[in-house]
Amino acid sequence: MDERARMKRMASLRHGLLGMLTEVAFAGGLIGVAFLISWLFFAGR
Amino acid sequence: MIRRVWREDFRIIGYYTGLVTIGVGLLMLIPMTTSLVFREWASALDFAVSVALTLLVGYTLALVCRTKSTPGLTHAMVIAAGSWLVAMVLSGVPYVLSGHSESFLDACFDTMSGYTTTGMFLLQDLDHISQGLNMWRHLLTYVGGQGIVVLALTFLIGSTGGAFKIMVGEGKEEKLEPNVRHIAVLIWRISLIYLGVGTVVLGLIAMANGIKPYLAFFHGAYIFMSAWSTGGFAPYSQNMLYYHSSTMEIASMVFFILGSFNFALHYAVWSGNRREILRNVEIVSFTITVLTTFSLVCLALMQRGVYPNAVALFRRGFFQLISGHTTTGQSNIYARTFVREWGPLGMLATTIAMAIGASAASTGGGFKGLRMGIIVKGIATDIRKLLSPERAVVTGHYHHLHDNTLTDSVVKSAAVIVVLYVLIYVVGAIVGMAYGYPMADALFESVSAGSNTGLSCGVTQASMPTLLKIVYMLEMWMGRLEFLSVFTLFGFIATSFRSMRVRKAAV
Repeated sequence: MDERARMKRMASLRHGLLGMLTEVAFAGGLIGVAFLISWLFFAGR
Repeated sequence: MIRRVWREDFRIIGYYTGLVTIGVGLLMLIPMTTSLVFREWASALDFAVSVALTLLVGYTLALVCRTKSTPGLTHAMVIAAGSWLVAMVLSGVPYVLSGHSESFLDACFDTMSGYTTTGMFLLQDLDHISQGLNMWRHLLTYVGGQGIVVLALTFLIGSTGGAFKIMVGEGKEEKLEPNVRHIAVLIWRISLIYLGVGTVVLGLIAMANGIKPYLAFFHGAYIFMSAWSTGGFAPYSQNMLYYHSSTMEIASMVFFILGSFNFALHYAVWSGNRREILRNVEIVSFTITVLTTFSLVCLALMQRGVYPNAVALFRRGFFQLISGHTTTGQSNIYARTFVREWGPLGMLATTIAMAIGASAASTGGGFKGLRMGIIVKGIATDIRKLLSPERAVVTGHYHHLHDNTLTDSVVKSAAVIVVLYVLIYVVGAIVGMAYGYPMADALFESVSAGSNTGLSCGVTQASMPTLLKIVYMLEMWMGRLEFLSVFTLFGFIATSFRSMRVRKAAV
């Protein structure tokens, strides 16, 4: 594997990992907002 | 004019259906090995018989119908719809042999529910089935989520000209790469990477909750396969309630939210286009409908004073709602709780969430966020047209991977599919009501089946009427394949009979 192919593979791995983290962060954010909504319903009771 | 059906048409359909069947037979080797590892000899024997039968059917079809012709669009649609039926019947054999299914129809109901990632089940004494059968149930749903044709494409069919058409017939119409085999490999790569991560995470949580280490990772794999594929099965009859673990529920929630994303979105985000997750019309539509329907659920549950605090409201209310919206069907409440505690508004909000469902070209069902987004944008564009000067040119746009122009034909095809979904939801509900179930229960269960969700308010059980089981199975099948391929299969059968009559008359 030459240097260029290795760099390309590393970039692809980095994108994959960051992509996965982005998706998990989005799902976590949505869950967080939902928790906030349920908290607001109780707070505003 | 509809063309006539020739012998070569049957050969093409038979050959490719045979290949998909061989794929199903090979897949059965995994639960068979699981049974051998756990020394469940009777279960291993059940799977050995099933593998032999499935491979026999698959090889016979492939050999008898051997052809080098490439499938056209009609063949592709028939292959996609027909393969799911053949796979459903043959995959039901281990269920029947296990003695846990009351009839072959019940076994087929369970396999159809598995492949379509619905998650309803009629299996008896679920808490005492073998690990092999448990593996098979979850594997069905995992493979069904990605698509059984996609699986066969990856390993058996290769890049024929008709391969992409078969994939479209299975509801995976996003062309991520020019080469269809690369698309199938990509879908599997994303799913397998998440399978590894998910099994470890959920396995560790299960272990921390007191499950023996070797079993914990099996539980982790089962729950992940069920969550990622938006399936809804779990190893025990109490589903997620069995674990009594909020950590397990949150981890599972994350995985089924990710599973409900379009594979094209995963691909874009994993290729460096991370902003796509915030701009995509499906995700915007999904976020808005999730938060709106959850607010309705909160309102319903607060009115009835079901849960004592915000944590309980979130833990039960949001888990059920998002499980319904992503069409997963995992549950951390008892089925009748919907009727007894959630009340009409809570049930209606969950029903709406299930009806909308997940993203297009994902593992999920329902009429999809993409169509919802397109229709809403279409309505907004029409209103803008009415408010603009007559000579003004008003065009709508939506962002899905790139900016797209909203044409009338795009809005029309989205609306047609939505109407068809609503139609099957209503038909299922009418049949349920005809058998005496209350309207709210019948509609909830019908939408759950048609959108491939699997949440139940107590209608689905082995003792329910046979016709209702068949209607739900049809709903699951049509909902999963998004109608077109199923209608083509019906049309093909009708045309075949007509061609036969014409030939007989000519003789």
